[in-house]
Amino acid sequence: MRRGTLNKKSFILIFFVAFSTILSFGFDQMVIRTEDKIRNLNIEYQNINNSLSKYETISETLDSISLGGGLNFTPIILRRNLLIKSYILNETDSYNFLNRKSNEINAQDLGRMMMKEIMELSDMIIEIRSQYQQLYIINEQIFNKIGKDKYHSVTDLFKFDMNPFKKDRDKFYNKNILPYTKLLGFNYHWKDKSYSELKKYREKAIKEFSMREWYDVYKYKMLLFKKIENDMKIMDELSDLFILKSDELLEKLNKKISELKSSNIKKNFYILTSIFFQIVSLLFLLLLFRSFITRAS
Amino acid sequence: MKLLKLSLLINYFAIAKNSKRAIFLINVGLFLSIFALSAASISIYIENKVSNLEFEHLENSRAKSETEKYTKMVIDYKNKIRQYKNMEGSFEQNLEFLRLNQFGKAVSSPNDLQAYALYDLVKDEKFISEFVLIFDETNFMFDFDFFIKKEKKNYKIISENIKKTFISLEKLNPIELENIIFQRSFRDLGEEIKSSMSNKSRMKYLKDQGQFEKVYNETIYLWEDLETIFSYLLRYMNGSLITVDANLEMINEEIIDFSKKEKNIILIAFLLQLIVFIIIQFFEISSVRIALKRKKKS
Repeated sequence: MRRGTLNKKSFILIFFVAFSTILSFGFDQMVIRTEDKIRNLNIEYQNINNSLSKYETISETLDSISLGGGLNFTPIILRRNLLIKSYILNETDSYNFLNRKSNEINAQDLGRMMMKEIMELSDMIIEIRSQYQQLYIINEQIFNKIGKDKYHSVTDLFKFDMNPFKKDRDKFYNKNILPYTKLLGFNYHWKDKSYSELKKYREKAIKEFSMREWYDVYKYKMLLFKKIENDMKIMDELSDLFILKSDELLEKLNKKISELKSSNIKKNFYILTSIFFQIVSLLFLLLLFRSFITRAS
Repeated sequence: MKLLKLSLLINYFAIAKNSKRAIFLINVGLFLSIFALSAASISIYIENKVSNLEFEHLENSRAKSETEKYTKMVIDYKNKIRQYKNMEGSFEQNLEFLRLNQFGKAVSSPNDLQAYALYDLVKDEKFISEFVLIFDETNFMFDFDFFIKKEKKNYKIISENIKKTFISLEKLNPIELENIIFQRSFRDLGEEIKSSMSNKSRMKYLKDQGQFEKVYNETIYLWEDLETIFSYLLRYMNGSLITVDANLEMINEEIIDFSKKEKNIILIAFLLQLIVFIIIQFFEISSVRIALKRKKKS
């Protein structure tokens, strides 16, 4: 067949075939690009989601440490004055309220109870701080990132001072508060001694402490209360910081969801449009063949 | 290399027998491609709708999980309020039990009962002002048909009471309360014992005595009111969950419905086009036959 037999109609049809094929190819490329974008968005979404659940878990754990501490702390702080008032009453009372053998035995019993209370409180502080430390160790980076603006150091936020309340000595009758700290039985003070020695020390205190010294023990107890309260406050503040961060992440997550949504819709549109143009291209090709036949016959 | 030799193709079509077969095949191809075009257009249209529905589904699912999370939180808070209420209640009962004799009377004071409960509420001033603000701004009960008129009215009364109590609490000085709790001197304790022993108050119970008596009694009702509010909140959240569930079900049904519609529309389009194709083929074949007969005659 000679060259130049293609007429105007054939050229138009060929042009449409080519144009549709190019469009189909273009939309295919758009699908690939959108797919890449969706993959990246999905990775970002997953990362944000993971961080979000991490922050939420930390904040929930901090809340539960603080609330648990509060539930243990409240019954003791409510009855904070009962024992010391009973002791004062026992020492100064002319009514003989307490029905025991002697005022001395009454005083010893009350002293034992007061001592038990400060030991309970120091255990409570240790428990709260060790729970915090566990959480801190496994999430060190996050804690440092979140708390760096508010706290000088998040690491020593809950370091336990083995000789506490040095700055509060003025509040005590006895300015040397070490004998009271030693009652708590920390290893730091009793490392070379046996448990029976600690027991003896405590019994001696019960027998020999005067009213002023028991008042100091009461003061010591109130400072322990304050310390626990402060620990819980810090935990609540930290939890609030984590909640703030979670809210930020939630906002980011919602943005990512919207982006994913539009990208997915676009991808579907591109796929279908590409198919559409493929078919259009085939259609024009068939029309081209048809025109050849009609011309040939 | 040329993929298609156009001249050969045209030569092939020039043979009458071939052209008949080819035209039939091309017509089938045209029919199929037009059908495919219409199916693709229908799919684009339906797919867009389904995509929107799918994301609506996603948003609803997220809202559902958020609501479930907050429901758990409300239940936790409600339990904690109850625990706290019980703790305070038992302490009050223990004190009153102690006060049945002179010794108990001497070692207990209104401050012992009231100061910490009040301090616990006012120590975080920000919390109080935020709480008052919530009750100023939030009226979720009124936007929701889930509650009956009586409950809405009750909610209004309770929230007003809570607001009033928090306003009275705002007037308390947290530092003063803190000093009463944590900075009791030996002298203060002695004075408290003396005052309790010589207590000539006609009031029988500790909760009805002392400098914080009024606001303390208000807080007793506050816990109850807060519990009721949390119960409402819980119902509100459960109501929201039911609504979200219904929405999700509706979206699911709509998606299924669209898929069914898509299938049916494509099938109908196929049948319609098949009919059109058959009719065209009928006319085309008849016209070719007539043309061939005329050619033979001539």
